Amino acid sequence: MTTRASRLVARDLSLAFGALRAVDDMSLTVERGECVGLIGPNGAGKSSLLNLLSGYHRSSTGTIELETSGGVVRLTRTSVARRARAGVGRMFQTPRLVPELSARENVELGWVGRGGARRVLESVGLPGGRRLARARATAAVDALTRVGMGDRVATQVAEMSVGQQRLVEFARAVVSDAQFLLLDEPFAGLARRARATVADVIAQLRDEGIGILLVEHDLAQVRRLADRLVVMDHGRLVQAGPVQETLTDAEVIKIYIGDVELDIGGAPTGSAVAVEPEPVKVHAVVDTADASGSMTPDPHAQTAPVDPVLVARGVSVYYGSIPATHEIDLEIRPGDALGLVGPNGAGKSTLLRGLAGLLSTRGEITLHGSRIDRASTPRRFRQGIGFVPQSGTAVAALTVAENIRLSWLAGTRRTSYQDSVDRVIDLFPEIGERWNAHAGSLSGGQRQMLAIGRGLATNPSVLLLDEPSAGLAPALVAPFADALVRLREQQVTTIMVEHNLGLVRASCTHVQALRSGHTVWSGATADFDDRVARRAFLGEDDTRETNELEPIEEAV
Amino acid sequence: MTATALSLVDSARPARAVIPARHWRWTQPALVIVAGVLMLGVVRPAVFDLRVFTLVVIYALAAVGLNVLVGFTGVVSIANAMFLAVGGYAWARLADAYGPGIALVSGLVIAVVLALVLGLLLLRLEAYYFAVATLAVGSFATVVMRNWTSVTNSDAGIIGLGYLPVPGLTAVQSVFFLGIILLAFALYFQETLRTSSVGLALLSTRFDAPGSQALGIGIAQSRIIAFAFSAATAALGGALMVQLTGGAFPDQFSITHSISLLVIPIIGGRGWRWATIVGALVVIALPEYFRFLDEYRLVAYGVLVTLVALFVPGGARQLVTWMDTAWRRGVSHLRRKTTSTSGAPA
Repeated sequence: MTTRASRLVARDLSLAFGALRAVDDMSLTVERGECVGLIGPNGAGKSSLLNLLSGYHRSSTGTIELETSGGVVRLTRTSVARRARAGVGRMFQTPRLVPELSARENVELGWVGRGGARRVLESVGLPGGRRLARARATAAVDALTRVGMGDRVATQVAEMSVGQQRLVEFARAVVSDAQFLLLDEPFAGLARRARATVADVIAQLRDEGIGILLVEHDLAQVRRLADRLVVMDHGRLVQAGPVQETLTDAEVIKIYIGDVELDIGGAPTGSAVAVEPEPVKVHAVVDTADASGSMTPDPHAQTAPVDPVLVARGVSVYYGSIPATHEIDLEIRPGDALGLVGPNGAGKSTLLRGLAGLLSTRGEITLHGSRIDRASTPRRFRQGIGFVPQSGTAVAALTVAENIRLSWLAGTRRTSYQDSVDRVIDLFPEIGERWNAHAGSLSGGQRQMLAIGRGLATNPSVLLLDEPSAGLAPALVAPFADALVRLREQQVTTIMVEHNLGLVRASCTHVQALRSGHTVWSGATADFDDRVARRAFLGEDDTRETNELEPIEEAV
Repeated sequence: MTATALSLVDSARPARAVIPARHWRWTQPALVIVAGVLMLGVVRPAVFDLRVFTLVVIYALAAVGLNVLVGFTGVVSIANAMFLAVGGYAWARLADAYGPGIALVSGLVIAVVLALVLGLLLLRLEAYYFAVATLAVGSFATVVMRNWTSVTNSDAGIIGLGYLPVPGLTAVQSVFFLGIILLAFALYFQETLRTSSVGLALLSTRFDAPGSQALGIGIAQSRIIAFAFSAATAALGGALMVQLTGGAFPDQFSITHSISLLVIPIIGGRGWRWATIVGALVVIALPEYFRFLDEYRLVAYGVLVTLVALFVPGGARQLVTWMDTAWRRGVSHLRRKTTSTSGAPA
C-alpha cells in the first residue's frame, strides 16, 4: 500500500430487507485520525450500515469511496476481501479469532493478503518465502507488544479471556495496515479494567492516524473516544455533531431513553394519539397508584409476609464465554410487575432470556422456592415461567386458535384449555375476532397481542415480556398498557423489558435499571423519576466509571 | 460484584497451551523415509504384507491433499477417486511412450487443471452442497471411465502396465519405495503450507468464513487452492496404484474409493500432520488383518469405525492427545511425589 487513504466517504446508502428499510439514505464520512461515534437504539441500522461499508451487504443506492493521495478508489461494488485489502478493516461484536492458533499466528492472519508471489514461494517451502515469514512474524510480535500483549505471543487464543482476545484483534488490525476501522461494540462483554485498556488502544490507533467508526452503547466510552457523533434511528440519520451537544439534544434523548416526561402515547409520533388515549391513561395511572397502594406492598414497607414468586441471586448470563450481565439480583412478589429498563446493550433482554433458560447462566434462580437454574427451557415453562420474545413468536402457518393451543400444551396446564382461551379473549377481544385466521395474516399489533396471549395460555406464574410495545403503533400503546394493568389485576406476575418509560410507569409496580450488565438502580415505580432515569440511561457524570452510582440509590 | 467470571486483561493466566515455534519441516518426511528404508532393509515383510503396506503408503499419499481440504478448509469432496483415475490412466497411457517422469507430471497437471475448473464452478456453493455436487461429479466420472473406450478401454481395462524400477528391488518393493519418497514430499508440502500465510488463510476460512473475508482473504480462492492440492496428491496416488496392480480398471476408482479417501483423514484426525498415515493404516491395513474373522471381517471393521465416530470424533489424533495429557499428568504426579519424599527428611 503506497498511497495513504485520507477519507472514507459513503453517500446515500440504502439497504432493505423485504419491506423493512434497515438503512435508509445514510451518508457518512470518516476522516483519517478521527473517531466517529455511531449510536442509536436497537434495530436502528447501525450494524447494517457497518455491513454496507465493509461489503457484507450491497447498497441499493449511493456510493462508497476511499479518497487517497493517489485519487479516489471506488468500493461500492467490490467484495469484502477487496475492501479489507484496500484498508477498510472490520471488527465484530464478539472476537473472531481462530481459537486453536497462537496469538501471533492469529495476528499474522492480518497480513495474509500481502506478500504477492513470495506467498507462493513460502507455501512450497522455498527460501524467498522464509524472509516473508520472518518479516510477518516480527510484525505480528511488534503489533502484539504495542497493544500490551507482548508476553502472550505464543499463547493459544482459546486460553485467553475476552479482553485479551479483543486486544489480539486490535493487533491484527494494526498488522493488516487498515486505514479505517469499523468497530461494532468493541466493549461488549468486557469488564471495567479491560474496557479501559481497550479504550486506550483505540485512542492510540486514532492518534496514529487511523480513522475509526465506533458503534457502541456504552456512552461513557463514546464520550471519551469520539470526536463527533452520528445518531441513527429507523435506518436514518437523526442527528450529527459534536459529542456533548448531540448527547444533550432533545430528540436524541427521546430516541435513546424514551421520552422521560412522556405520557403513555409518547412514542416518536406521539401527536397521533394525543386525543384518544387520555381517558385510558388516567385509568391506567389510577390503577398503578391503586396497585402500589393496596394490592402490592411498597418495597420499603417490609411488613408484607408474601413470599416472592421468583428470586434471582447473582445471575450472570453468558453468550458463549462472554458474560453479558454480572451477578444480577432480582426479586418479584405475586401480582407485581417489574420493569427492566436501561440503555441498549445493558443486558435486559439477555437477563430475560437467561431466566427463561435460553442462555446459559451462573447463579441461583428460584421459582416458588425451588431452584430452576439447571432446568431446561421446556421444563421451566412447565413449572410456570412464560416467555414472550421480542419478535417472530407465532407460527405463521397455523391459525390463532392452533397457536394458543400449542402454547397451552407446552405450559403448566394449571387451568383447563377453555379457561385459558376465555382469559386470552377476555383480555384481547381483537384476537377472539380473528380466532380462525392464520397468524401470518395478523397485523403487527394483533401479532403482539397473540404473542402475549400465547404467553398467558401457558398459565405462567411469572410472565417474561421482551419489549411488548415494540412494533406496536403509537395508537395501540395506550390500550395495551391498559391490558397489562388488567393482567396484573388477575394476579399474573410480569417482568418486562421495555423502552417506553411511559408504559413502564403505567403498568409496572417496580423498576430495575441496568447498565453494562449491572443493576444501577432498583425501587418502586413512584421513585423512578426523571433524574434517576437520566443518570441510569445516559451515565451522566460517569466518565470515570467508578462506583458513583451508589449515591443514586441512597438519594432515592 | 465487578470481578466476576470475566477475567481481566492482565490477569495471571498460566500460558499453558503455548504453541511452539515452527516445526522443523523435514522431521516428518525424514521419519517416513527412515521407516520406509527400515521396512525394506530390516523388517523385510512377506509379499502379501508388503503389498498391504504399499497400498497403505499409496492411500496415505493420495489422502494428504484431502487432509488439507477437509482439515484446513473444512470442505468435503466425494470425488477424489476421479483424480486417482486421472493419475492412473495417465500412467497407463503415457509411461511406456514418454517415460515415467512425463506420465507422473502430466497426470498431476491434468488433475490439477480439472480441479481448478471444477473448483471455479462448484466452490461457489455452500460446503454441504459442494459435497453433494462432488458426489454427482464422481458418479459422472465413473460413467466416463466405463464408456470412453479409446482412452480407458472400458471395463476390460488396460493391463500389463510397467512400474518405475529401483535397482536392486523387486516390483512391489520399487512401488513401495517410490510411494515413500512421494509421501515424504507430500508431507513436506503439507507442513510448509500449514505454516505459510496461505495455510493460515485456509485455516481461518474453516473456522470463520465471513470473518476471514474481513481480513482480505478470498474464501473461494482459498478453497480452490486446497481442492487443487487434493487433486495433485490423489493423481500421484493413482499413478502408484496402477503400478502396484499392473493394470488400470474403472473398479479401482469408484465412489467407494472416494469415500475411503475421505474417511482416511477423518479417522486419523482432520488436519493433523500424521492423519493420513494413521488413517490409511486403519482404513486399508486393518481390514486385511481382520481376515481371520472370515465373513465377520467387515462387520467387526464396521463396528470399530462406528465406535470411533461415536466416541473419538477427533480421530486418532484425539487418542494421541489423551495419551499425551495422561502421560504429562503422570510425569508431574511422579515429580511431585519425588520432591515431596526428598523434601520430607530435611
